[in-house]
Amino acid sequence: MDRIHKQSDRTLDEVEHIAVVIGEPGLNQRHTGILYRISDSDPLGFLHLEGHCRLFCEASVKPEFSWVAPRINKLRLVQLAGICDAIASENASNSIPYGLSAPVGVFDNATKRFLLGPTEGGLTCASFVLAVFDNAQLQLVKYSGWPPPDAEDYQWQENVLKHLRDLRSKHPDLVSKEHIDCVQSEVGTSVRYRPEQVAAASAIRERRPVKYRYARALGEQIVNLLRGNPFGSTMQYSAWDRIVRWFDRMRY
Amino acid sequence: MSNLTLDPKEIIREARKLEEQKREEQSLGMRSPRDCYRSASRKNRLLPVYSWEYLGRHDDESQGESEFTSTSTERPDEFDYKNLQIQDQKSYKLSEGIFADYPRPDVNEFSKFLKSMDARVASREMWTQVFAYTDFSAMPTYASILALAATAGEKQLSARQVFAERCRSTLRARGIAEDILECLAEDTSTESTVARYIDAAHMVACLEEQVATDGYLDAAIHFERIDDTRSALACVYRNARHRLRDNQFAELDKDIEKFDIGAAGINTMLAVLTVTAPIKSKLTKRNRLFRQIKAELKKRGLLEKGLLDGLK
Repeated sequence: MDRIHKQSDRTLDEVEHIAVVIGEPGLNQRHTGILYRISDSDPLGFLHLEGHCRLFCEASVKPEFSWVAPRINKLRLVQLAGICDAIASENASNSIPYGLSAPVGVFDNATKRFLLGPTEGGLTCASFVLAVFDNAQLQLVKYSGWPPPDAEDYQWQENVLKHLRDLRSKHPDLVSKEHIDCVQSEVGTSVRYRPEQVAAASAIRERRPVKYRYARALGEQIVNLLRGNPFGSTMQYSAWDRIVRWFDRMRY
Repeated sequence: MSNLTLDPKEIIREARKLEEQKREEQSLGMRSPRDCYRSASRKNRLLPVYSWEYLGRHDDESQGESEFTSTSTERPDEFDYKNLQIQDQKSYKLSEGIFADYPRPDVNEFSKFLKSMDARVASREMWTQVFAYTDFSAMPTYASILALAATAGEKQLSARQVFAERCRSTLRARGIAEDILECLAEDTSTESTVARYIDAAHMVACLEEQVATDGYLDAAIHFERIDDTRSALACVYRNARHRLRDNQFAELDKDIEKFDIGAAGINTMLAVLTVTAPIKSKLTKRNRLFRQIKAELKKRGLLEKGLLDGLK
């Protein structure tokens, strides 16, 4: 896949306005975020939700992380970088809780601040990336087609809840009881967007939103790449999607 | 370790000494620059050092060498400090009054403000006073640019040169292209320079104000023209957010109706479409704007695949 790069192959200096960063910092645990700059002369900022109330905009990315150049029109990427800049400046690092809510409409249009409320309990690193793209009117994935959590997803969601409970026992002022209740109600019912699937969705094609099966297929290949295995075969599109792609090419 | 331990008696002695000193200063009518600065309202934090000198030292000739004399190395060349001490209160009030009420961020208001400044500050010496002692850091950046505009004909004034450099570094620190202060046009007459400074002050105000500023889309167009895309986007996004926050949908609709598509760069156009997309149902003029932008991009040969996806 020509859009997915290891830092050893292509340095971050080659990032054009936006890159989706993907890495595997722990065993079977991936992390994602957005690398952005509005102008080529600006320094890069790595905007990512590292954990509960841990939103960071950092100047560097771990060297073992890979990056994906989104298959999106370059001028729209400039706009997305502008929105990243607004979100980074308007949200304090402790403003976004970790949770399993849907990434749609989570930032206030008037302030670009995260909207806490009964429906917006919190985000994961992957749903944060989706929410930022969504805010720039660049919906990455087809939310309606995403399957409910499988056994592995359910286990992961349980682990998130356990982690939040542990955090509350140590720092009661950091995690509220309401937040624990909210996440508990989402376990098993909320869709899980995996970091590699989100990174894959940004790389797949110019026409969005990306269907689950393509995001999953390329996501698996990205995991292989992160683990040092060779990249698999190219993406196989369905007959219908091949027709749609052909029409797309004819339109312009 | 023992010599790090403070003797409580000594602390009490020192505290009493400081209190006495403070009482003595108050009885003499002396105020520290910090006191003077703090006691002033935010808008009136003008000439804190000057007013300190004026209020505290001015009438105390008997003390011998004043604070002014001891800091003589920092004085601008053309300024007669002895004269300052003798100057009547009128001069102080004049300097204080200049920025007491800075204008609403609007090009016409800025022009009127410059005229009132011209009427108040007539001499180069007065301007040197203003540059040296006005606390511009407590004011919006556009006030500094207006001070530059008012002295556009006094480019050789050394205090102004220093002040202009300080303005540039303020803009740099805020990530705003300092090119907005440069003369790009061939016409370098004083009138055109003043007009340019007024435009620059308005552009900066559009980024700084906490409420939507009229003409922010024109400011964004200018920013993009000087290749400051970051400020162009910030200008559109911030002001549109202020409009949404204050429920000014009708005003936002008027903004997009007046938007000069022919003059705008592609980034500004896309920013306007992006920021208004979530509330398109409330903006009656947006559909027309989308069509016009699409036609303009086609005309310019910039309409690429996926460029307007999700923005209709």
